[in-house]
Parts: sequence; structure tokens; C-alpha cells
Amino acid sequence: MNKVVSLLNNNLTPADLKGLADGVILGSLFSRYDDLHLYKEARENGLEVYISIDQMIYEEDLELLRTYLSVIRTKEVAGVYFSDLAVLREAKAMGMQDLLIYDPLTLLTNSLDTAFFLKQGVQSCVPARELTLEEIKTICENTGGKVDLQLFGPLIMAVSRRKYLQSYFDYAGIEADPRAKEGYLIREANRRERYRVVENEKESIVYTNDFAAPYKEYLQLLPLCRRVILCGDNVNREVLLHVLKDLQELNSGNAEEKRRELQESFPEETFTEAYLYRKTNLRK
Amino acid sequence: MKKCELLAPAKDLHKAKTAIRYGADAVYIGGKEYSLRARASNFERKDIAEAVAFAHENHARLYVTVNIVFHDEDLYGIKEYLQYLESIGVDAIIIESPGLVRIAKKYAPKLECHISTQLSALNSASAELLKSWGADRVVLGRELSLQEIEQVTKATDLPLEVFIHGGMCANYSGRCTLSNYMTLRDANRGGCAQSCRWHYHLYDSQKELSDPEHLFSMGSRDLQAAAWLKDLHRLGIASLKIEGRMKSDYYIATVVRAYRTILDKLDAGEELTEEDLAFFESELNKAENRPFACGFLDGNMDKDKQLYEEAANVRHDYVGYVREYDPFNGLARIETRNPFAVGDTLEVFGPHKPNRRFVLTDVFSEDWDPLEESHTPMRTLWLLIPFETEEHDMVRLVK
Repeated sequence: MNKVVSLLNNNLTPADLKGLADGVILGSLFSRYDDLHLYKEARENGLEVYISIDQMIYEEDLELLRTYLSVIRTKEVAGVYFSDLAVLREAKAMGMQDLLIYDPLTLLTNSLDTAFFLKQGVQSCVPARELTLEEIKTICENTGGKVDLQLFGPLIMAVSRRKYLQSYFDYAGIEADPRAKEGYLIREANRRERYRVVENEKESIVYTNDFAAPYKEYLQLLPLCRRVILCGDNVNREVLLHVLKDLQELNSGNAEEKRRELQESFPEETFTEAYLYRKTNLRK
Repeated sequence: MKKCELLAPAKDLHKAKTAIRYGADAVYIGGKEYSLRARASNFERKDIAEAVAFAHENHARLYVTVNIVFHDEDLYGIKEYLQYLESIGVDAIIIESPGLVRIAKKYAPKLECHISTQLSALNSASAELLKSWGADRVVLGRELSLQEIEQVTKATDLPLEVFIHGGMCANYSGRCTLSNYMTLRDANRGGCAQSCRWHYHLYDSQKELSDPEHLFSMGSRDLQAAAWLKDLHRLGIASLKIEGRMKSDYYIATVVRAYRTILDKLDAGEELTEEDLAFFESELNKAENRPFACGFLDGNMDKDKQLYEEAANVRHDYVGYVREYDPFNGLARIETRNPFAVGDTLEVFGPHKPNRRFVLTDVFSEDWDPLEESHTPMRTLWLLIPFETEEHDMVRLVK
């Protein structure tokens, strides 16, 4: 079982993760991450490197995608998280599908499709974050545990090709940088919580405001999956390090206490169990 | 060149028939099971069978959406459902799940599998992979520009479907959990609360940047691609799709009729003049819609594609549906929808015929009492119309 961490805008380096995580998710092309330059440092610190190709692929990207995959193949890379099916097709053509980990954010919600993608030769799949604990367990059990689970950190709520920030700034005559690394916060007119919106050259991303940290459930799911992902996107560095240290020491006897301490240590943060107990099957 | 199919939505059997009468080559519907617009569906299984029969009698095709993003608990009974759809002659299912394509191909092989836009296929590599898995058609993601659509058409021979009209998801379809997170309604299982259309305050750290009178929103203008049909037609797109399974029969009739007329002109090799386009766009504006834009077709994703203002999209100019016409007395029996009065200028339109206007002089109740006005929907009234109309025509108020 591995713990892999992403480093987007959290001021952490691979050296910080030494002894706390097993791998790091980096990216360059076709990714919201732009930190592949940390590859060498990650390897020097004993971390496995996972590449994220999380952005959608357009026709004009295909040639570059092939080149990128051919370069990845020559590196010591433990896995490639991907979202667009073009990556699977091109990787299959190059005989490197066993490096792939299918992570379409929201679309992998059942055992049938998870098993289907595993049959295509990918090494693992990442089920949707909006599944309940029982649904995740079912998928893990039905697919031999060949799944990665994103259990920690903020969740991505939406990805768009639209330039949400640039468009609004233009509309409202606001002079601000829509590509500010940390993004901006939005609050629905009748609610209190704020959500982070980050815009890059290719997309806008909306994150939840809370930080998933299901300690007890982590212990239950640990033996059932292949890797656990900690999304570090735009996260307070100290929070992430605290959680990683907790996970080193976590057991069934101290999980609740450590979770309580986490909240007390960072009272401004909202730690939740994400969707593990929130079934989102309501209809209008 | 093979003709482009005009594909229309329908919420119920009546609307499916309306879409076909007004010129749709195919209609897509959702059953009460496994459909993203579960709330919209009034299709019991017997209605699906009747819709298929009506479509086939009229040389049209009928597709059923099986496009929820399935959780394990949703998969019970799916095999039997697919076999049922095949047994009644449904032409295709619209489906998101690659695993389910395999199931459909094994247990209901006569059903074509059209890959839903929920999967956001945006390139030929994805299309080719889906073809190798059994897909018969791919509905392209709505994020593509015309140029990008052209690039995909040149690189795959898999039939492609492109949206040309209606509501737009703000985010990549299917890759959005705003609704799940904020309302516990799963957008990928028919519960979308359209949270993208809500209004939000925008902050830079703690300081509010947004104008309280004009808040931030992710909401999109509706798509209207009349001016792009010529190019999509040239590219040989297999199917041109209208969004709107929640919409009224008036919307369906108006929108289908406008695009049908454009496609017929293009099929006949006729030029679409500026005047033609202006006319069709004014027709499309008569159906209930949010403000229009051309989506991503022009390759721009700027503020003009977004919708920040409150947009009332409900129109009240649909007067009624013609049930019969008595040519001897010049009276049409209509089923009313919105208010109208003696003295109003009304317009009759129908499938495959030009619009005709008249000033309303006489209205009678079912008991032949003369009336000056009507304010009650779904009432049967007689209108004196000074030219021949027929069942299934529609009457609207001219502003």
C-alpha cells in the first residue's frame, strides 16, 4: 500500500515528504500540475514518481501526447494517472498501458466499469470521490483491490474549458490576474462556505472548501486498495504534513483522538469524511 | 453525401410525436429507468413501444437514453431492460458506460450504442477506442470548436453527433459534482440542481471582488447554431442534436421546424442567405430559451458565452395546439396554453408549411358561448381562423 501526494501550490517539496509518503504525483504537459522538474528530487528522496495527465485532450494535442508518453516510458515512473480515453488508446498502441491509472474524477462509479478498464490493461483505477464508504468497499472487493482511493485533501467539484475568472473579470471590469496560482474563492449567495476556483491556460477548476480526512475509514480501506491519494492542491503545507504524520501512527485505538487533535490544531480548516456517509442520490 | 440526421428530445409520447411531425429524423427519450432526465420522463415502457412504432411508421428512429453514471446499486435489472428495448425495436441507446456497451452488445446486439456526451469524447483517439469497444456513434463533447470538430471528422470514420441547440453544461459534462456537493443531488444520476447557474460572491483572499449587483456565475448561455449548420452539414456530421428533454411541445415544434427547414435547404444544395438566417434565428427566438450564443463553435470562451444576468426564459406567446379544423365554418378547435384575446394578432404554424397571420375576431367556448379572452390553460376553445389549418398546427401570439 502506498501513499501518494500531489504538490500543487502547497509549498512542499519531495524532500519534505521523505519518510512520510511513498510517492508523489507530478505533472507537466496536459496537467494542472507543472512541477515535473521535481522528478529528480523525488527520486533522490526515495519517492516513486507518478505522472498526472489529468486534462482533456484535443485533436491537436495527440501528436504531442504520443511524444510525451514515449518520453515517460523511458523514465522511472511508477504510474500515469489519466482522465481522457485518448491516453489509454495511445498508451495501448505503445504497449505501455500497464503504467496507466484511470482517474476520470466522477465517471468511475461501479464495479462493472472498473473491471472493464482493468481488463484493458491499466494497473489501477480511481473510483469517483462522491461514493459512499460501502460503495467503495464493494468496488474494491469486486476488483481485487486494484484501485487507488483519493481519501484526503480537497475534492475537485468541477472542471471546465471555460475561463470562469477571466470572463467574469472582463464582464465586471475587475483588474486582477485570473491565473493567480492560489486562485480565488467563491461563495454562493445563500451559503457560508467558500470554494476555490483556479484557472490555468486550459481549464477552470472548482474545489470543495473542506479537507477530506477520514482517519477511521482510512484504516478500513487501507487493506482493500492499492494506493491512497492525498490531494495536496492549494492546501496549507502544515495541514498536509500533520495529516501525513498522523497516518504513520494511526491505528484503530487512536484514530478518533488524532482526528480530534487535527481539528483542534487547525480550527480554521473544515475536516470531513467527504462523501463516505453522504449518499448523493437525491432527485428533484 | 449522407444526410445529417436531425435529432430531437422528447419528454413524453405527445412530444415525441410532435418532434417527428415537425421534421425530426430521430427522437431521443428517457425511460423512467436509468435516464439522466428521470424527472423529465413520462415514458412508461408501453409508451416507449408506442413511440418506436410511431417513429418507424414515419421513417424516423427512436433512441433511449441509458445514460446515468451507474453505481453498483443501479445496475440491477439493466440486462433485462436492454433486452426489452431491443425487443420493441428501439434503434439505439445513448450510454456513458463502456462496460455497459459490452453488456448491450452481448445481450441486445441489435441496439446501436451511441456514446453519451457525458463521457466528453473530444478527439479521434477516444472515438476510435470507443469504436473498438463496440460504439456505433459518439456524441462529441460540447467544448469543441468547429475547427476541432473538423479535425476529428477527418481522423475517424465513426459516426459523430454534435449538439446544435439548447442548454449547455458549464463544465465538462459528467465531470461536475457541484450539485452533489451542494445539494446531495447527483448530476450524473438525473438530479442536477444546476448549481453552476447560481450566483456567487467572488473573493481575493478575504476581500470581495465581485459587484454585488452583478455576481459571479458559471452559467452558460444556451447554444444556437443555425449559422453553423452549413459547415456542420459540409463536414458530414451524422447527427445534429437538439437539447431539451424538459421542454414543451411548442419548443420542440419551433426548434425542430426551424432546423428542419435549414437542413432541407442544405440537402437541396440551396444557398442560405443572410435573410434566411435572420428569419430562422427569429423563429428560434420564439421558443423558450436563455439568451443564445454559439457555444464553443467559434473557438472563443469569453464572457459573451457566460450568463451573469437573471434570464427569464419562459415565454407566454404559445396560444394553443390545433386539435381539428372545420373548413365549412372556418373554426379551429384548439387546446389552450397561454392567455390571448379578441383583437390579438395570431400566427399559425405547422409542419412543412409557412407561417400565416390573422387578427382574432371570434372565440367560442366548447358550449358555443362567445368569449372575449382566454386565461385558462388546457381548455378547449374554438377560434375563427380565416384560412385552413389542420390538427397538430400551433397558434402563437405575435408580439
